[in-house]
Amino acid sequence: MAQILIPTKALAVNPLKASQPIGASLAFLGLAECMPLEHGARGCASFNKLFFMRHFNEPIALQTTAMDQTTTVLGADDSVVEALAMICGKNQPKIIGLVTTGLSEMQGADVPRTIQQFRRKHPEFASVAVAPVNASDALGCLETGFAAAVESIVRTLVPRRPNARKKSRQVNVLAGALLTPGDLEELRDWIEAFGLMPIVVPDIGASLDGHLIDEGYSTLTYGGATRAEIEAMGESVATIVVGRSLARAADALKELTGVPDKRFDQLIGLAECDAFTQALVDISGSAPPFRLTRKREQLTDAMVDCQFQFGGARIGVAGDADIVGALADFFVNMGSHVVAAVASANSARLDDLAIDSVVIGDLEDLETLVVENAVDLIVANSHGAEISRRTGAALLRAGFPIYDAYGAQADAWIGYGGTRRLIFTAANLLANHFQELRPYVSRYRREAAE
Amino acid sequence: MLIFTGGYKSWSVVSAMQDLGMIVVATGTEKSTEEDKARIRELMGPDARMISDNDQTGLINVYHETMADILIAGDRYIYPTLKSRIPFLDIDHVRRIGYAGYDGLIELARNIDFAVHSPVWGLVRSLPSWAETKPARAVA
Repeated sequence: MAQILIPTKALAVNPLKASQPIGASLAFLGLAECMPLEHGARGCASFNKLFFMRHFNEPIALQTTAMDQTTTVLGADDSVVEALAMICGKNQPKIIGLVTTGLSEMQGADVPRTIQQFRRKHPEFASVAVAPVNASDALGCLETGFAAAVESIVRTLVPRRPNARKKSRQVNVLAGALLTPGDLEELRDWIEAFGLMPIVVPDIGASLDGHLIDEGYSTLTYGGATRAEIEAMGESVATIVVGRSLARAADALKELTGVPDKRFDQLIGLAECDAFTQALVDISGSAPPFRLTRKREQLTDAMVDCQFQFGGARIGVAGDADIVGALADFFVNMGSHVVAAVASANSARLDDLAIDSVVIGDLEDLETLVVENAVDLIVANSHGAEISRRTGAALLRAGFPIYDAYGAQADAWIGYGGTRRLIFTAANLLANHFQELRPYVSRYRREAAE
Repeated sequence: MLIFTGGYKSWSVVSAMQDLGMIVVATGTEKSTEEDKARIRELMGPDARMISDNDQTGLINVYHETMADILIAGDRYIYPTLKSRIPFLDIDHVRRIGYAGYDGLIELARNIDFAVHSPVWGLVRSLPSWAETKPARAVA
């Protein structure tokens, strides 16, 4: 049980967290033919878009209702209706994600009523789904905004059909914000290796993996979970949930479809991979294929080969709760000491960690702990680079945003193969950071006296 | 602990381990002189178990037989030991970590602790729940 520490300082000095609207928009970017629409000031959406572009090296489908002084005071509902109609007319999406922000939340925007208004005024766009998400900047973090959007996607698009006929090979996957596009590719392969057909929601692995298409540039998303797939989730034989943050979304899906679910906090590490593989064995009725058991053997070999680097290493982790949880578990299971842990927002996930404490705070809190506890390796987003430079600790980039390294979207650390890659990457960083004992110099030696 | 080194280290490492309160179950005597062996007997008693044969399989068998917690040897022995899921400490003379002197002995104790108590051993000896064959060879 980790102790949760909440500092009393009045401001974030070196901010760690990315806001809920970023997370909510990211979830919508994992749906095919989709356009997220942020209801807020123009600058909110433009900064969010910028971070997405730098992280994924991709054009990003993202629109804004561009609230200004007048609409903020006198009411912005008409601009929402107008924006929805314009996107429908111009881009022909199948789904629009309507995400509130700090400004519209503070104004008290009544989004469900506004959607009704849009429906009355524009029956010609009745086929376009609109999924609303309340995403105040003041609460939560990227991960909770993402989770709220997944819940809205489920509630808006999945029909209530608890008794639908099940397809024995079809499984649902609710994929949390801790998974990268690379992770999702790995996850899909893992499930398909058992002859199962996954419906991954949302699937940023299919939209933000970075691939050129024949059509070139697209104003909408480049792939992702299709609306038809989401509507068919009730026909699946099981649901797999990855990420504690998706608990409410998973409850909603279960309630609507009656499909039994199996929930995982994360999929990094041998025991976690074994539990997931066992779930696939149970769902499919098949034994794991040779390729998978071989990958397991490769992972255990990497664990024994690299444990020298991990034993006693002092680790600092910062990020959203599910990511902090996944990586803290990983390092603890490799024999390292997680002596600095900072999460951007509180979550029950953090209580269960086998480390002393977690601070709910910012990167300044992380830096203080890194210095106090002589941390060898920091795990953080790109904002951790400055802390790494100032303190001399090595940096492993994880989370969002990562804007100073290519291929962040392709990093896959889940599964047997992914855990093995993570072990090698972290072991190399620790090996290069190794501090040799200083040679002993006697005080009687002449040079020492100088 | 099971020590397999040679020459002067066949007794100097024994002595260091005993200083740390460890029980040395056997030590290697490859390339050790009679004088080295005499010192071993002085430290470990007249019936001290000495291994002069550098056969890897034999060494791993001795590890299981003596119910040791760790094998300490030169880096040539790392991978056969790790493949056997056995904790290992590299004591080769070209190693990068210094173990001499007071600070060195503390560093040695730390590294033994990390090697023996790494959670990795329990994990890699575990069988996945779907496997019904006999468990991988466990040592603990």
